[in-house]
Amino acid sequence: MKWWWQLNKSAMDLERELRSDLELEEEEQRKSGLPPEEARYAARRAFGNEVLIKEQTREAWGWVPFERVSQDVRFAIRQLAKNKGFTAACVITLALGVGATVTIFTVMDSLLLRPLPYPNSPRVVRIWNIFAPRGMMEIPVSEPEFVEYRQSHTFAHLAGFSVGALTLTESGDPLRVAASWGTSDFFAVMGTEPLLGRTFSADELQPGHTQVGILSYRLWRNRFDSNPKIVGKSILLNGQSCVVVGVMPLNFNLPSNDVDIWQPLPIAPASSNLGNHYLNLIADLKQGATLEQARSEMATILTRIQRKISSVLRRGRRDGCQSRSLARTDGRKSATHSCNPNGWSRVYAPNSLVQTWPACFWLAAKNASRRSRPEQLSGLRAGAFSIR
Amino acid sequence: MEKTQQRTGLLQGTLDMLILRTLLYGPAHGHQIGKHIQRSTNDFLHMHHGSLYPALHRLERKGWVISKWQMAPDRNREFKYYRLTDKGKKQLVVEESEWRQMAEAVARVMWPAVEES
Repeated sequence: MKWWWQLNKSAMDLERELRSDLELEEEEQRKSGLPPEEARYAARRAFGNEVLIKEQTREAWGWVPFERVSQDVRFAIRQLAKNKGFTAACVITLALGVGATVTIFTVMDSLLLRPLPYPNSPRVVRIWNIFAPRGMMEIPVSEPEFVEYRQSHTFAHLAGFSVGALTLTESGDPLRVAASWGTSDFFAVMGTEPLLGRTFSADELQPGHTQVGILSYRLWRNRFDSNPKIVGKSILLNGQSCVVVGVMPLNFNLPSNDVDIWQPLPIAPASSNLGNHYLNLIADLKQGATLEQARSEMATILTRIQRKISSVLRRGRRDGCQSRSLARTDGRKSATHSCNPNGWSRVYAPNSLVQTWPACFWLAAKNASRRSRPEQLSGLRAGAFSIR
Repeated sequence: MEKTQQRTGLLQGTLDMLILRTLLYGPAHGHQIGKHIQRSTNDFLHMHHGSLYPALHRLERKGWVISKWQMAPDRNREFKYYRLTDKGKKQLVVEESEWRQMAEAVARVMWPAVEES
């Protein structure tokens, strides 16, 4: 607006200049003997078109382009004010267009462009078992498999988690909250530090010591009024007392946005529960490690798992405590490693085996770095392990 | 009037030079400059105000003259006085030499006999 003010000032200055010179001219005409009235007309005649002079002088100031634009804008506004229906149609069209564009961009931005809000997000992957013959591409893993996978050297941390719900009572109305149980290193995979307190200690990941919990930012704010002294306090979850050890920051939404409480998930190294596939795996690659390296190492571990499973199968037949289909000789035999003509490494399991042992020996590692919800991803299949 | 406009049109590029030259005598306001040029040329060049004021403001924008509201010595009234700057003086020299070259060139074409004799 400064230029407008300056322009106004210049216009007033020019007006004054022309006025003073005109008066002088008039004075001179009077002195030459003309009566006052005629002198004024003579002076005006000598001066010429005053409005035109002003116009031409203004051109010399170099403001003309700005003035023209402002005139055009004022004209446009007047026209729009006159045609209210047309203006409304235009404004609504533009508003909807801009709104839609912004919405689409926001979604694309958070899903595709922006990295996950975790320090380690470029290196975070998800790992699944897959069983292609049945189209099962994202099968959670069992505890013994997890124990094997955890020995991998290409990942800095590898953790498993499960999800469920808990009832929070005592502090206000009972509330059903989404919860997640994480193994050791669950928080270390993402590298996110808690906002308050700490994550779970090694002791708390031992069976029988797990009555602790970490709150989401949202639950802490809504249910506990952002109480900064919440750490160390006890809350009631499913009727059991549980000590709050930490609060996670707002942007920590693992495994999903609605999870409000995290609790430790102890895994016994000697677990032999091969049938319960409930663990979702996440891991972060070591600095410098590539997905290719991770895949080939997973292949090695997979072979090891298969060997163990085979021995369990044999034992199962001997002990007679496994299901019928597991005891079938052809089923066991087929659970071997082979190569297909494409050079892809595949592990095949007969369907009869799968019914009791949905497992499958396929492993999928997905790169979840650019997505907001790692568990929703899908992508390329590259053999026994799919990297997405 | 038409005649005058034709003349000023012809002298478009020269107007700046004439104004600068007039201001060499000392600060003057628009009316004085116009009158001076008119009188000096025995009313041959009739200064049209529609050319004079834009020219003055253009020269001021280029920094060749500066303006100031001042009391006229003989009247109890303020006028906008224009004064030549150092930059304006240099410009005057440039324009003058260009004009001279131009005039001489035209003269050589128009009156070759005069040149030869």
